[in-house]
Amino acid sequence: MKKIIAIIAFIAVTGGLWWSWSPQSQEAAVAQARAGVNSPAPSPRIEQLAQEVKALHIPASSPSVEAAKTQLKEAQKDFKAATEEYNQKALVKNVTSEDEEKYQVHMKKSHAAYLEYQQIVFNQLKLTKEI
Amino acid sequence: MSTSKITTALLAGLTLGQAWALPDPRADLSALTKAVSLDGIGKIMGDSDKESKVVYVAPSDMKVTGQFYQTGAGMSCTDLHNFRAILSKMPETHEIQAVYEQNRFVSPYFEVFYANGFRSRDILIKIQELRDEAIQLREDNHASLAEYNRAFQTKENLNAEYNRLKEQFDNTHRSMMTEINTASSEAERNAIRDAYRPMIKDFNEKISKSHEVYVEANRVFSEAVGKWAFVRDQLVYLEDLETDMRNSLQNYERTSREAYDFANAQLEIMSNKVVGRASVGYSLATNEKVAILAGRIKDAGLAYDVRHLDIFNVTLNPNIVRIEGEATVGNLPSFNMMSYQIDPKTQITLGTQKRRLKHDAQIVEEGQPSQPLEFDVYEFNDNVGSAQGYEMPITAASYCGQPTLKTTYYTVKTADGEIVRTKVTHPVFNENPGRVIYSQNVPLTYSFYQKAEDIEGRCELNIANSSTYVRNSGKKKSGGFFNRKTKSWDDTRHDYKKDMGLACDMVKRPGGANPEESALMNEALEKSLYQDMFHMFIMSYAKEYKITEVPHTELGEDSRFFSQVGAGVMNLCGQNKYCEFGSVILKSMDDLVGSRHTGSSSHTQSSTGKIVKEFKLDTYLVNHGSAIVEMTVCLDRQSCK
Repeated sequence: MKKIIAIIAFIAVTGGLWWSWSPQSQEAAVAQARAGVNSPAPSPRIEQLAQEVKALHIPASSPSVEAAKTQLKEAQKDFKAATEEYNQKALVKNVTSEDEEKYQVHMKKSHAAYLEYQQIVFNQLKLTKEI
Repeated sequence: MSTSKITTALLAGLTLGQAWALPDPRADLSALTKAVSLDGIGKIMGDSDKESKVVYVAPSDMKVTGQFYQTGAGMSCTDLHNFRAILSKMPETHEIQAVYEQNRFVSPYFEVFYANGFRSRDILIKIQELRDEAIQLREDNHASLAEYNRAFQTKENLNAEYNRLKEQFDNTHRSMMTEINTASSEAERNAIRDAYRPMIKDFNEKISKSHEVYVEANRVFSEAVGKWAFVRDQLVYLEDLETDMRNSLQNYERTSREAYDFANAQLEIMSNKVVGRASVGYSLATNEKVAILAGRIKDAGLAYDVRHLDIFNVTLNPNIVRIEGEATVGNLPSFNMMSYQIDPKTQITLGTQKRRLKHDAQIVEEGQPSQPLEFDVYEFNDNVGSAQGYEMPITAASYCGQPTLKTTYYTVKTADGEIVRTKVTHPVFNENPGRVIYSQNVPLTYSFYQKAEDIEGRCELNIANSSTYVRNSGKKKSGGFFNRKTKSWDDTRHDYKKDMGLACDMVKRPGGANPEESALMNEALEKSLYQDMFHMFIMSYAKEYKITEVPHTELGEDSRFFSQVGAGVMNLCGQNKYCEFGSVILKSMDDLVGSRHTGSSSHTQSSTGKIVKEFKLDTYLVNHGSAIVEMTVCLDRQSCK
């Protein structure tokens, strides 16, 4: 009861003026100042620079690069396994023409997967055909 | 002559001591060497018996060549060569300008280690242009920016003033509320209000004034923002464009590196295909040299009996293995498997065998006939490393040739007319039909017996005292026995006699070349004798004992000699290693009875016995020699010679 009386007394003394305003944040002030005004378009000079940047832009990756990468990883994994299998036989002097053919199949598949990946990657890097 | 060599010698002498004529490097062979050529013979030495006219031929360095055997139907290098080109092709010097101007792709190696520089040049130039544009924009709108900054700062200052007033008011408010709450009457509370009323009035006036200023500042700031907003937006556009270019640089570098890594992985798999084997071997036997030297001696009209030096404990010494043919070029992976690495810390023991060693010391027990002391030892198989064959798989990379480094100078004229000259080092793969495909040096060390001084004396160890001492020491110290680092040899010897009844008396001592060497030799001899006695005791009476290899530097002097020398323990630990005895558990009487006195029940005799060893030896020491065998295999064997 004493506290309520005290608060009422305080309000009577101060008149409550202190809480009548508080400063804006800078961000709020800028937002208010720009309210209703659209962002200006880039200047012609900046527009020109943007076109040049676009021409030089190199993306981080692309779906085609990722797909080629996945295919290559798989082919290299198979090729490595086939080489290890071939070597096991070679170490005990037991390589046949079938073993050699099997090795060649995996090697050529992996080789082709790399070349395909390389082509896609260097297109992405904006490089032209090979010399 | 080092202490360790002498102690080794004495132990060997004590264990195996017999009167032999032995090789002696000190023997005078000048009569022979003056008359006979030693070309191609290597190391020789004379005999301890001056009358015998025996000369020994020691193994020495040699070169051997081996043979390549192809696996399968035949190896074609075409695929590997093609892929090596895909990975590391470089443009001809006349092509580089077109490569630069037309952004032509050459190879992953070229992109990562050379082209990265000029490919990124355009992007770097663009980044600079974007920055220049931003600087120009700021300069052109300098007044707007200054006005914006001033208005911004004014508002910052007003905010600070507001915060300061609020803090003051909060403090006043707290004080007043505290006083009102603790007042005891309405009259007292009214007095408090009256006291605070002027301060509150003052705050009201300040707040009112501050608000008026703030409203004006806000208006000015809004105007400044309006003027600056356009410029600010243009700058943001430029910053975004610069970020795009920076990301593009990173994307180029990461993508080209990833492509290079994939190509490398592909090449590595292709390179590791086994296409054949290199087979090569050697023998340290000196029969051929013995025959040649004998022939020369005969031709010179001299009478010498030429023999090959008997060697044992032939071991690889991997510490000085040279790695040959490692072919790492730039950042390319190694393209060969010609050599294999041996960890320098690895001690290779070519073979050990366990055998029962009958020692010439006697167990002397009251009322019982003395009996020889015997125990198990592990020792090296003699001459295991003296003849070895090596067969290594040869991979496609090794078979198809190793890369060499080539330096090329490229000159490029940039779009700005600037001439840029760059030095590039890159791998080039050339076929060489006679190339080395396998190369391995095998450094060997071996031991041989050599004549030394005669010695004579007697050692004695009290079994009961030693048992008690070892048991007590084992309980008191976990770090092993004789691990004292500070005591002198004289003090140590005194302690052994007191603690274990262990003492050796020398009648005939070895002499050295000078007093200092004699003192060293005699101390080493005594230590080896004491150690030998202790080892005999441990190996006969310990039920279990743990031998731990410890770094040399961590051992006290006593521990070092106890570990260095010993017919049995040294071999258990391995050559050139230092061991520490710890956790010795002595056999119970039952164990002793079971192992040493089958069918007997003489318990008390075991605990009162002595180990006694008398020696009168024509001694020898174990010396060490070395030989490096250089083994090479070429595709074309003739080209190795």
